[in-house]
Amino acid sequence: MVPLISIHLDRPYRAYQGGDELHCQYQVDRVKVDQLQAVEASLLWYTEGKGEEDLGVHYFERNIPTTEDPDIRPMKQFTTTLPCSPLSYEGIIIKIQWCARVRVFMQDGTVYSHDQAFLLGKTPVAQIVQP
Amino acid sequence: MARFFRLWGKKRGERRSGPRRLGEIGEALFFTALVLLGCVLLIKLMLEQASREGPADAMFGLTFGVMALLLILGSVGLVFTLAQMRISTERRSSMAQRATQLPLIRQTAGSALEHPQIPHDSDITNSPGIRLAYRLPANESPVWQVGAAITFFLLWITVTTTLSLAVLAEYEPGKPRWALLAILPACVAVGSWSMLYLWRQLRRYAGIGPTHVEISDHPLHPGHQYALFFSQAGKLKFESFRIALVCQESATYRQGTDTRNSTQCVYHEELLLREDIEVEPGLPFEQECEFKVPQQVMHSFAGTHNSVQWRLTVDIQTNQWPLFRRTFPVVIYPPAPVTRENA
Repeated sequence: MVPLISIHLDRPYRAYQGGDELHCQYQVDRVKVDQLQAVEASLLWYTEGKGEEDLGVHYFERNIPTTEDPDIRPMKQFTTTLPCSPLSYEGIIIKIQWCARVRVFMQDGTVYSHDQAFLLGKTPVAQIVQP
Repeated sequence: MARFFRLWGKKRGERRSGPRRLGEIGEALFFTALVLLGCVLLIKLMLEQASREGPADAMFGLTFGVMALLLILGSVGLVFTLAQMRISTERRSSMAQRATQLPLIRQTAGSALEHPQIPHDSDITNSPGIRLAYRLPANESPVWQVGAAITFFLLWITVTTTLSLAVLAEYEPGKPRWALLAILPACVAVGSWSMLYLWRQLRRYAGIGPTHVEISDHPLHPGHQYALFFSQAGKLKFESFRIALVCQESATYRQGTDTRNSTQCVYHEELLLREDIEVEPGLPFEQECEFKVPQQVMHSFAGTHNSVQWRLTVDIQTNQWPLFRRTFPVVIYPPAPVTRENA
């Protein structure tokens, strides 16, 4: 069965500005404890569009079962200050998208991931211009 | 079934239509085969050499080198593929980013850490201006174009002259060397074209003259006003002289084995337009103007494959040559973060 990954960001419209604090909660469900190998949570930006994908990770954490804490399914959270750049952008051939991503690694080698997109900044949508 | 055993798959750069895991396994198998091949051939070569009596074979060193190269390439590829299979893209990127936080690298990467993915402006602000704070460097220098034209012209003239001398030296009445005679006109034609091209480049470079652009401050910030100073030298009559602030998206992608670049203009604001200008000999055409960077615009962005580039363009239209453009890159920062006290 596919695990259920839930991500919650603290702002209702998921709109932030550079320098804001972002609070993220995430949880993995519908999976047995011994099936999980690791859970990774990251806050990143990536490009979409005509070119090859560029990606930058702003925050990253990896949780693995330990003897003290063998269950990595319960809700975890992190808080981070967002950078000033790059801002979210919807261009013509380039788009910059920010998201919180949770990646779940199963013991059998399968990997599942879930993204929660958010906006950084208020850059308007680009228009084609004929010089 | 067709999903798993598709004969053909589409591929563009890192993106492909086939299953990713299958591709990784295939890559790992290929490198394993290379390692095994390298090992087996190396052992065979060593055994043959050990059983041989007398001095080593002359080709032994070369054969050994090729086998060792197979083994090294296979091992490196296999380790890299296995690492990629086990480590997520985010974790790899995070590890690489953490390396930039090391004290020594942090010192050199100062502004890049404060404003990630925004290009450095050290190349732009290292030259002070005469009237304003900074003199902007041109994106492309005509010196390179003229230098390349001169180099090609000299090389080609040397080849053509040598060939002509060879034809003359070996000329025997009734026994012309047809192969050389057939090549000679083609060489002369290419030589003539390169001379004409060089002449045009020199005329254009000397005729239009250098363009200087100075700016009151750099980097640029949205909503702020800046002063510009332009100076254009050269004995010319311009039909028009335009200065514009331009933003261009640029994306690099691979198509098969080719690397392609695509651009799209997303902002163009004319800052200055002058028509029918006559530049007096010895006196450059000079202009000053002010402009404001719009409040809501995308900042400069520099990724590995994608970028958003801001520049000032100077378009010169003359009656002698086609439109001549010089570009001067500038860097626009994102709006300053709003602090809790100001909000």
